[in-house]
Amino acid sequence: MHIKDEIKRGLFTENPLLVLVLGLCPSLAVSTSMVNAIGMGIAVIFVLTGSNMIVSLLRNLIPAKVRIPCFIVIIATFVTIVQLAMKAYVPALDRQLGIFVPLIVVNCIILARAEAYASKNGVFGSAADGLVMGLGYTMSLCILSLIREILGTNKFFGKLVIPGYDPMLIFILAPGGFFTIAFVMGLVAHFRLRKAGR
Amino acid sequence: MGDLIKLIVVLFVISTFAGLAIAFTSARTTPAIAAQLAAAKQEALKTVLPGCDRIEQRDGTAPLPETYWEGVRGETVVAWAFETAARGYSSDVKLMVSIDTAGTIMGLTVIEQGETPGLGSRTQESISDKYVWNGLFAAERKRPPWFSSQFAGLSTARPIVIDRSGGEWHRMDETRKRALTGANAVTAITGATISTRAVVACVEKKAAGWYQLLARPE
Amino acid sequence: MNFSSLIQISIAAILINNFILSRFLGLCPFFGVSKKLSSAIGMGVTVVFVMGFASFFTWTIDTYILVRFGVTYLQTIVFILVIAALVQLVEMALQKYSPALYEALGIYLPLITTNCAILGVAIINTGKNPYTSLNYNLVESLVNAVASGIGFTLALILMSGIRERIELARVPKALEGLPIAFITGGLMAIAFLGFSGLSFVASAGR
Repeated sequence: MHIKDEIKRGLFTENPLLVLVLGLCPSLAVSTSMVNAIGMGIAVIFVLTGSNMIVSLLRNLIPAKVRIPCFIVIIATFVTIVQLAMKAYVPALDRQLGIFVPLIVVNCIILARAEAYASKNGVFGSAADGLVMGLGYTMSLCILSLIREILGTNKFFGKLVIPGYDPMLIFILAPGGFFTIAFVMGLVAHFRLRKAGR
Repeated sequence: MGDLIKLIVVLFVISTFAGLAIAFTSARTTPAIAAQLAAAKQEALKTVLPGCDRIEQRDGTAPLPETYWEGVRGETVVAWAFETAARGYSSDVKLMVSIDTAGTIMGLTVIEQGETPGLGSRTQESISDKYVWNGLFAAERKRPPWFSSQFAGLSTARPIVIDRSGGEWHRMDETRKRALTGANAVTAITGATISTRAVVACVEKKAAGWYQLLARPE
Repeated sequence: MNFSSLIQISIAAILINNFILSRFLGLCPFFGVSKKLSSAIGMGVTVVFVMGFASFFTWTIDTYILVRFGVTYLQTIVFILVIAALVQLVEMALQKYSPALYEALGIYLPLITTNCAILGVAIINTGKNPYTSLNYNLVESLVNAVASGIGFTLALILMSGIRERIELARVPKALEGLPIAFITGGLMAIAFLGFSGLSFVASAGR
């Protein structure tokens, strides 16, 4: 079925973070806790789906030469809406995510999908693409956060996990982000090599 | 030339719609944002001035801060609360401090900070004692952050010492905690010396200064 | 002019809060362009230049237009457009007036338009200077931007030196390419963590 293929593509075969390696900067900074990861994921899904839909709606009106600035304006509008909504309704999350909320506008995933898909396909397909890619991104963020939060603070959504474990602080500091994504990517590569070698 | 015109027109139209969308959202969210800030401040005041019937805002004249709050029980003023900010490691740590009429610190709350997550951010950390298997969304008794509660009972007349011999406050028993308060000492956050020192220095200096000014018989 | 504040800002931007190894800004070029030392240097120089330039304009627009008219919510959209336009202009100017420089650096310019680092430093400069607790003024924001660029370049050069050698080393198949680069980055980040004690902030209150 078409939908199932799309979901498989967004979550696994073309996972924006772990396979296409797009949107690195926020993912390492934000994956220090599950709450942050999900918050960022929802924001990205909103911006991605929204901008994909608008770009798709306007794809025949935007001349090819100015398409990048136009895409940027559309994406930036959605990001600003998300910024304001977060400040108003979830200010604690906004403070945790900090500078990375406005930086969603330069998240390569969104521009890449607008350029590669939304500018060439219909609204419904573009919205679905945005949703699926966003879900894939959120999933990979959650995987990273799960590892970092449990190893680094011994917590899961604020509740303790392993009794008597004194957490390794390094996992929620900068180096931890690098190591975690290195090993998760290595694991993904390992499975892909095995699958290709079969 | 026609191309350029089309370019400019399209960009202009999109920008206008974008601007309108943003302005609309801003108009809807600005009151909510202001309400959030006000609520946070009220929350902080209630935390540092427990047991007061009324909390009244007063305007101050230099060298007092512009606004301060009086905690009133019955008809007498029992404590004052102030907002201040300590220059922390990577941000200003905004504090709400309260002192009672005897010059003892009644309470401290960290309102806002942007310190390193996992280190300086532990100034706002409340220690959880619930495990995941207790239920992921089980209601948890909201305990005040240990870092701020250790300031309660300290005197503004003496310097505040940072005690490094015993580990962090939340791991100590009651006798040890009482001994620390008696010695006008607090414990530091492991690995966040600068943030700790910043808060301690700020509280020490400011609280003493304000107490001098307010307790002076007029 | 508070020189000690400027020095503190520079050291903080280059070592303590290194853009790549501490703040995670500018990772895409960090892993994309760091395979050869020559391209790393080229990218680094371009970034320093664009950061300085972009910061100047974005700070000025923010202070004299956005804040004055109370429309700071337009910050994101205005900044990114200014940066995109600026990079486009710089590219055209380079192409016309200095073809040699364009050959060397021009290819990196499109890469850094949508780079977190440039927009990141622009947004940081509209915030507060942690060493004076006041907003950054123009000189401080320029120094911050250029120093951040230098920090970015430093990390990039170090990384490319190491990566050139990794090419010749035996790496497990699954870790080849990006994963080993991330591990290298992580080890560098641990090294740079050591600089966090360099903070000059005298914590004796104000």
